[in-house]
Amino acid sequence: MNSKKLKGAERRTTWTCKGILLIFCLFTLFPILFVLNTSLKETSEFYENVWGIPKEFAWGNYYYAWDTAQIGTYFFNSLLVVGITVLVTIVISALAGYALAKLGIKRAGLIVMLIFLSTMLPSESILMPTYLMTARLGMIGTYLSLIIPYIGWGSAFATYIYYNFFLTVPTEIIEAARIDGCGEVKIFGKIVFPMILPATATVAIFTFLSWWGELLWSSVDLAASELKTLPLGVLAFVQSAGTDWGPLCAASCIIIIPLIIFFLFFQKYFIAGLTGGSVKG
Amino acid sequence: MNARHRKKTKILGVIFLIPITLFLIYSVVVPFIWNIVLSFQEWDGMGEAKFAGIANYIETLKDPLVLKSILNSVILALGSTIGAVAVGLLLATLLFRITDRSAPAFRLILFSPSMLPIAVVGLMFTFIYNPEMGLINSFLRAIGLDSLTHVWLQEKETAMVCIIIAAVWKASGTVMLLCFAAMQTIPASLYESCKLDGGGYVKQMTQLVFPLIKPMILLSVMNTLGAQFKTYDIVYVMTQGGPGTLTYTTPIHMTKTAFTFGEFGYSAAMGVEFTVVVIFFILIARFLLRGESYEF
Repeated sequence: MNSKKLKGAERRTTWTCKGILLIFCLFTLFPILFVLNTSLKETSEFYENVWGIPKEFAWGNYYYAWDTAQIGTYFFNSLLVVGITVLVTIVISALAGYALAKLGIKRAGLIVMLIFLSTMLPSESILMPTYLMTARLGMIGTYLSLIIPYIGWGSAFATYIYYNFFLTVPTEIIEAARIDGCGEVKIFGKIVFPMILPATATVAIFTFLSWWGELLWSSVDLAASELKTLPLGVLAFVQSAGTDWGPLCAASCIIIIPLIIFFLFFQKYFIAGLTGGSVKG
Repeated sequence: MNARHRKKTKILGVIFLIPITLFLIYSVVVPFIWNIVLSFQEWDGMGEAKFAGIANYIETLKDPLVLKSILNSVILALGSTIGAVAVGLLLATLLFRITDRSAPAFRLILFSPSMLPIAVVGLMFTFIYNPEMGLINSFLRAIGLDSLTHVWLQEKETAMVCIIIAAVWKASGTVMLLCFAAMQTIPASLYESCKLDGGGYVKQMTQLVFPLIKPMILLSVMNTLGAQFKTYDIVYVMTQGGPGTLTYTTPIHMTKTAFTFGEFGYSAAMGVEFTVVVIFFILIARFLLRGESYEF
């Protein structure tokens, strides 16, 4: 009897939680769905019918944004820049995290702290010299001028995540592999690295999310350049298209879709990644 | 493992550290030092740089616009951090309770704003705040509260608050996910014992879970604070610092001074001052949330 009552109370708490979460979901989804909805309306229809669903799907908005407004070109620019950034970040951070956690570097803890501290610096204070440096190297407005700083700025946090994960790998496994005559590089590539895929998923998601929408450095670096990344392209489109809401919203959706796909693909590992290593603190 | 082998792995370790070191030197160490050097110079970006001593620092600290932009940045960062951590923690608490198959859907939906690029978030919210046909004003008119409509992003009282709300909307998902992940590492046995002691859900959370995940809360606070101090993009997209200089933040002021007016030394000095302010607030956050962490 008593336990039944307890169960009832628990169920009520769960439903209350669900109810409140639903309200939050509504606030979260509303602007996103609104953009999605508007992206499928002719702008003329939009002014008459702001709230309702479109009478006829205006796929032309997407075509217009992708082709005429060159969002398609910017999309592939961003994909190239962010793709290379993610790959290189994963490789160099995994190497560094492994070296610090498992290869007997002296004062590894201190080095990790220093690397982590570098993420705390406000990016504004290093922005201008980075620009001057890039200009002197003659790289302004090139793919590399985006990729190299992105890797540098993102790899510190990634190393921190990898370090915590590699610490959780038992040293005995590495020792055993050594005794079996396995080379160090092979131990890393074939044994230890595959053990911590959640860490790689976490790093991949974080890196992808932070650079896919990056605006500060790219707007400075590419200010006078033909080359544009996706967020810059959308902003330029906003400034030129003014209140042509249909195509504008279509352009926004083109930015969002890869993010959703990327997250759905990695989310299983992502949660595990956050809980796995001692990201406790 | 013999001594020779140990030496070999150590050499390998150093080799593994070389790439990241090069990247960090290029993109963090050199620019940071260069910025400090620049802050003591007067330079227009073209000719010879002249040594200026601390003139840039004195001038910037006398400049009301510099002080205003720093103050705006602080307000924006503190407001959105407090908001995002409060909402994120609440969401994690609620989410933790859901154990059925709807949980992943809730997670994805509530995290989705954190994935959106600022350019898109800015666009959405400019529309929501749009005075003529924006969602808020249309809604207020529809329910007959015309007197409450505002030109949200143009008025002194509302502009900053509106930007903060947009920032909270975007940032709370990350906090939620971090705290939720930390909650999952707490062993179930601890809950059982708390339940047996007759603690309801609220009590379980405030007295058991929050103290246990305090390190993660601290990490989220510092992470959010750091990110929110970099409020160039959201302000840039929504108001571009305007109307006038009403919503100027330091990053906006800095890039304008350097790249529009060519006063690189002045801008660099502002950057150094801003760095000091940011570190100061991060240290305060650490101090306020200090305390022992529990092993479990």
